[in-house]
Amino acid sequence: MDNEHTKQQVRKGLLVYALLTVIAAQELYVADILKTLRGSEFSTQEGTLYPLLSRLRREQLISYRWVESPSGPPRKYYALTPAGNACLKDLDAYWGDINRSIEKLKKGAKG
Amino acid sequence: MNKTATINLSGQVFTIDDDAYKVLESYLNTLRTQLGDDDDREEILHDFEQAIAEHLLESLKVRGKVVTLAMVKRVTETIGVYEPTEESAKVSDEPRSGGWQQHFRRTLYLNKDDAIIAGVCGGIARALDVDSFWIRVLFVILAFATSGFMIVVYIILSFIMLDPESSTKGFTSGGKALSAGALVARSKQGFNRAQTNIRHAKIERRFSPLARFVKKLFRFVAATASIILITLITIGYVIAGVSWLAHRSSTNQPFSASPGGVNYALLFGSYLVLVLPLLAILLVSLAQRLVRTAIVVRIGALLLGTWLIALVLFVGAAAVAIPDWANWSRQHPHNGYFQLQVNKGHVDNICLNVAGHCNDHPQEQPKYIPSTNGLPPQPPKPQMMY
Repeated sequence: MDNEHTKQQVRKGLLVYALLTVIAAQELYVADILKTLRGSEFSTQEGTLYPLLSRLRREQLISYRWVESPSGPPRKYYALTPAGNACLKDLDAYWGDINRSIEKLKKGAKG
Repeated sequence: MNKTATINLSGQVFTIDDDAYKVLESYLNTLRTQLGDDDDREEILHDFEQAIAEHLLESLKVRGKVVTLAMVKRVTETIGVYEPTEESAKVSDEPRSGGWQQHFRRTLYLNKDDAIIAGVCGGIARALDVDSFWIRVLFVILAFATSGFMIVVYIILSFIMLDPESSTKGFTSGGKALSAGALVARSKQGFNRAQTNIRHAKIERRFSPLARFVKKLFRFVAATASIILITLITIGYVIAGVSWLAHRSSTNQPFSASPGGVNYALLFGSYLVLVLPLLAILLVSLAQRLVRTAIVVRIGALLLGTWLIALVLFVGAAAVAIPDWANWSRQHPHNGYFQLQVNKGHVDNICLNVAGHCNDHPQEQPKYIPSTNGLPPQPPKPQMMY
């Protein structure tokens, strides 16, 4: 039993958090985002990323600007909006809460 | 031997094997179906096409000039199947507070999806997040108001604004087989568009980043200033109009020359004809943040209808009143209010002076001359203006 399904659920839930964190560090375009995520637990594909980016844009958490590329058509470079930054801060705090809750639960289980 | 086709993905022209083309086409068609009526369908599709184009370019760098079936399969596997997010397509489009500054951050691009001529209005509408209909109305009004100068501005804009678009509709035409002729025509079109992209990209490079900053600054200042200016002008017109109406709709001359109803029609008509377009512009500039589009459309239609009625009223009343005034003026050349200089049926000069006299006429009226020869005093003879 590899618990893959449970892990997958955790990853899925945290993907937005991971994505916002990546974009917050630097203005990126999709290939860069994929490359950054590839080294992590959140490795994903364009097929997942594009609909997610579209949703976040509509929620006005991220915005993009067109940047010409040395080869090929202009690319969309994504960055966080002020609302996106606020959201990320909130998620950071919440992530801390989650960690503390888990630690607390572990202690409770032992004691 | 393989039959090949030429396709345009996101401005890139590819030669592709026929079997590979069929797989790619069905992949894109599946995507289109899966996206359904998602508001951002075309944009997401465009993103996918761009990703496919970039992956294919990578593959072609490694080997070959023709896109093969193996390449397409590898690329579609890399990109993966469409995975909808739970809330996608259900997110409200209402702008959030603080969101409108974001509109100005987006670069102004031509909008080929929403274009009547070149997509300038559509592009501006997308950048401002308003309905393109209102931008068009504004352009048309400005075209008249500036005696056609706005048309020149439009042409300039259509060259300045960038064209990010590459034919997203390229080969996903419902899976129908395309004739060879149509195929050649489409690839040519795609090629021309690709050329345009390159040209625009060069222009962009030459002027950035200072130009980009100036453009953004200008856009922000212009938007803010125009809203303030339009508000002030509208308020000014409303105040001026109300006081003018209050002052003039009494039985003051020369309005006594025409029947009362005609005067009211003339005054209200002219006033509304002037003020309503300003209200419309104000409405449009406030539309995106304060009111919903549906309401704006309704108010806009109401304003347009009222304006047309006012215009008819004004023209009709003027047709009745002007001959009356001309008559009256001929009979009262120094009325101190209103001077129409009439020459053989043509109105040569109109002079309106609320305070008293027209400046180019003698201030002093000839006085009654006391009789010295026993005759009764004679009134002065009216001076006719010719």
